[in-house]
Amino acid sequence: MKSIPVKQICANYNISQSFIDELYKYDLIELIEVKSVWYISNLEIAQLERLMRMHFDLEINFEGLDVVNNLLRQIGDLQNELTILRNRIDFYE
Amino acid sequence: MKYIDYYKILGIGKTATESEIKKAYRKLARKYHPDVNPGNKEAEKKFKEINEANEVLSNSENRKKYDKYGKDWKHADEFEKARQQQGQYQQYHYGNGQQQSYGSFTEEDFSDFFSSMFGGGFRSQAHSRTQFKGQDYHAELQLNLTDVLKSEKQTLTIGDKKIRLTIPAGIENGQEIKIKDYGQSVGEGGINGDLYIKFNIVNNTNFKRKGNDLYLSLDLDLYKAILGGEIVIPTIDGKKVKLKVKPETQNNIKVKLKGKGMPIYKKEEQFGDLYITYNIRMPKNLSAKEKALFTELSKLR
Repeated sequence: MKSIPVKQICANYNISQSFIDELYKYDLIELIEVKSVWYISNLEIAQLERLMRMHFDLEINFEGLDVVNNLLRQIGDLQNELTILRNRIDFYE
Repeated sequence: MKYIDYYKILGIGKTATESEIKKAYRKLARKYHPDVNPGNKEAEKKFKEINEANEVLSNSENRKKYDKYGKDWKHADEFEKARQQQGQYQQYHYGNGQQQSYGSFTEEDFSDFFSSMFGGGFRSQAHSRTQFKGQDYHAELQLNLTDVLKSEKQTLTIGDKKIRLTIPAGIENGQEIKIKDYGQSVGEGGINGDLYIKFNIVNNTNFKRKGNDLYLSLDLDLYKAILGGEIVIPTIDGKKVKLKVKPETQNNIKVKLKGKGMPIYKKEEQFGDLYITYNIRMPKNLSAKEKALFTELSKLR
């Protein structure tokens, strides 16, 4: 699993480090600390980009991001359950 | 080519101010943005529409042109006139750093109406932030149930890339698999997007599937059910299996054939079970002799 230093990510996206810190505080992304340098895993980048779009483009604040994040997880679970139930309905039809 | 009412799409009047347009667009974007509507194709379509409406109405030059020519866009002379002006606004558009729209869009995301009025080369320069991870691609693949009995290699063409892919046996209908790095490529230093393939498995057999198990209803004649015997049943892989029928087999009884179900996903050489349900068929159009024999039988009970 590859990781990228937070500083580099910030420079790349042209965002402030405080934005990343805030997301971390709200448990919206995971960061890794190695020898006092903070890194973000490659696997977290998609989530970070999603949060960035929601925050900067849709103007959703951090509390809102937290709520949206939880609801999206619920939607994901429900969609999985729906697929299972649909397959079961096919069985009875 | 159909005329598109961009005002209607944003739910605003023809006299809407710049800030009213912005407000209406943001409100709709929050509702239909793909990030808050995962897997919702209808929302994605709507989002493209409102983006297109915003591209036109939030740019004063574009809006002027649309208001003037939009409805009668088919007329050739006006078409020509507007075409001549086109170069100007493209410059204007690209030079306008304040232009705001969400996500990155390709020409395919715009309607014919839009492309013909504002040119095919027109492209939203949406994000000022550099993209680090490429977009994820989502594809759907339809297979028959009999196609997933064995792990099979398939070559898919996504965009300009060829992907050799092993589809594991026993994959479920609606299941999605992720192929890392096969989404949008962003070049050196970035992370490629991923490719998600959703499988639509069409049941082309008489078997019913419940997870790894298969179910089959089978007609059984009355005499075999009562006296017992042997029947030949088909299995999902096209083979045939001999099955002993016990004497006095009851109607609707289920018989389990171990290991004759679907292959278990990512567990080699492991299979679900096959359940056979017997439907006992009563003889019809009895002859006089048969009736007499049944009467005799009934008297014995």
